[in-house]
Amino acid sequence: MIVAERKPIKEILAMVADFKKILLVGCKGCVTVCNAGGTKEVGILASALKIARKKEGNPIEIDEMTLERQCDPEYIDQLEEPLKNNNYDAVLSMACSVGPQFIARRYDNILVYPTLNTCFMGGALEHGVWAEFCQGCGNCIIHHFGGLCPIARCSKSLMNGPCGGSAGGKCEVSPDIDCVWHLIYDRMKQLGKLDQLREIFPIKDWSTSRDGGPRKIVREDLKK
Amino acid sequence: MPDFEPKIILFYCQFCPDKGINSACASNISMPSNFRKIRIPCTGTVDILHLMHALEAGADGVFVLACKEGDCHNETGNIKAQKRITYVRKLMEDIGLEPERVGIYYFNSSQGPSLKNITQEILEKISELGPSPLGLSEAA
Amino acid sequence: MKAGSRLEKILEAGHFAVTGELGPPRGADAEVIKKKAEHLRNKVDSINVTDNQTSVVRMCSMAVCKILIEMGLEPNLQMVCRDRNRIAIQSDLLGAYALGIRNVLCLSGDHNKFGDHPQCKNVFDLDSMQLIATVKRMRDEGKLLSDQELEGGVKFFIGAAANPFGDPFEFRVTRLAKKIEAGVDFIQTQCIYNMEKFKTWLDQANDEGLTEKCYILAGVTPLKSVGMARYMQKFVPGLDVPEEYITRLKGVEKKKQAAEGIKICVEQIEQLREMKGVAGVHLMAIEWEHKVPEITEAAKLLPRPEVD
Repeated sequence: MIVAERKPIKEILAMVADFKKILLVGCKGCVTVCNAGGTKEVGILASALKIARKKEGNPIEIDEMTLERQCDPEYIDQLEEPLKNNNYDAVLSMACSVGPQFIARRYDNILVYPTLNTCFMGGALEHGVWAEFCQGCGNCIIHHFGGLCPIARCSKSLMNGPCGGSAGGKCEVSPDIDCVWHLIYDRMKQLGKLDQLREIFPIKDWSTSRDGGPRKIVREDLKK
Repeated sequence: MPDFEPKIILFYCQFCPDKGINSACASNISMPSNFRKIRIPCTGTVDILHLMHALEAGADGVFVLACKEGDCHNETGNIKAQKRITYVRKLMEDIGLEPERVGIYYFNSSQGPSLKNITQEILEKISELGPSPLGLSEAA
Repeated sequence: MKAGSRLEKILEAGHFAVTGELGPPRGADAEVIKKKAEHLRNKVDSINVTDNQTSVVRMCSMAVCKILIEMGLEPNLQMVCRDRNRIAIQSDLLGAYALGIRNVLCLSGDHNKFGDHPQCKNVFDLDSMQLIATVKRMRDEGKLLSDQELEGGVKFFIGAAANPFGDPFEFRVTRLAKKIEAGVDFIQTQCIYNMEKFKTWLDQANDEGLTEKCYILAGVTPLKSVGMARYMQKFVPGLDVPEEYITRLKGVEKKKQAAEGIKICVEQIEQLREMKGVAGVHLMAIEWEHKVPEITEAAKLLPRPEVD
């Protein structure tokens, strides 16, 4: 999933400083799963903003809403009625940054703000802890590395083994980061495939990654 | 502010703290009238939103009375409550509202008489902080 | 001869090579470089010029290499993958050759997190292994990665680093083998303090015949003080400073710690010289270039042999 976290409250308060009435929109997709922008987090953020503004003697009205997803136009359409019937100063999205962009491209008369920082593609290591596992390079190569990704998980994206900074299974960048090359080595050893790591992994073609420009996938079989 | 009578919301667990409150009552120690008590199945059910909404509604203090560590009937309810309190306190700090308005106390059936100490401590703390700025703006 | 550099000739002739190191300044004053470099004249065979080491902005390695060439000294251009993509790397290599640079050391580079611009975007388009292969391709096939034929080839003596003390230890010799397969001609190791561990690594490399396929220059750095030794022991990832050296430095009064550090360094060089498979030493006297004459003299590395 896409893992995100809420922006600091102060940053969000600064965004809405001039507004009296806003719509705060959550998303039931990835950001609900990673506890960043679901119905509950929308409630907490709305409450925090209202408390802060009430305290200043400058109350703000906040309507809350959580869409099935914010990355599909059909759900974004559901904002049409509330936007028509209310005089919102702005819409704040609690989805990954796809959400506010989808709202912005659908409704051209309303200001849209992100309240989350979209961080990475990853998963939950345990409840409350998420880590990055994929960088979306567009050409998956993890089967060459025991199923682990050195592009996303090695701080230097090294493809031919650990750098000299790998110590005790940890990355030199931080003791909180596992050296993925140490994990790859252990796993390949376990699998009896160490020989594979002796081969030089060739220079990667990054044109399928963001380096080739913004990407798009078209499935003619699905298109209307 | 001589007339300030703090409005306190107190969430308390139906197990140990409830028994403690009953035993305090038996010893003629009662909860001060400005405490609004809310009995809950376990402090693990106290949601961040409950705490926030109480503050938003103008409560001067919001507290949780939990079973002692290791005594939770659901094992970790009190630990979860503690973490949520910490979360809300951080949030309050970020928006400039005194985090001390939110807190947790541990209390069990054999401690009936010490209920007085707890309520007094809460009252002193909140009296020192003064009324919640949210309650004031509501009154104004 | 692959490149015909002085370093290559020394090694080819079977002499025990000595390379030094020079860290460019955090400023544009060429005099600083000249002063540092003078200490190394006739004491080492060639001089590594670091490339924004520890990710701190310094004068560009290639410019400093050119200044050394003008002084009649031989540079080893260090090149890291952190700051350049394959376009910049190949372009820099062409420029370096045109300026007379003949030795290139291919490195991944320290992570930008450690430097003075941790906010920067890093590159790592290639890794050090792929950089070695790129230089070799340009040299031996006369082609860029795009298959474009070069008009005027580059003849580099290709170097790389090896850290025998990084984890997982068992993979370290494999990594050396891969670098050789990628096309490396010489290796300079991380600073060695744990002689025993280095010996284990070297024995494995000897057993696999790797020391026949490339020249290994053993890295040494004199310890200036107990403080420096402790710092390297605790905070430099992938460095292994045994307690015995710290005890030794502690055993002398503070004023004499530097002299003791040099003594240790000289002993290390003597030990390394006796090891089968060690073709030379890489003396990294960090901000201590003026001690290089004393160390090389005491280690009986002088005078440096004449080649050509």
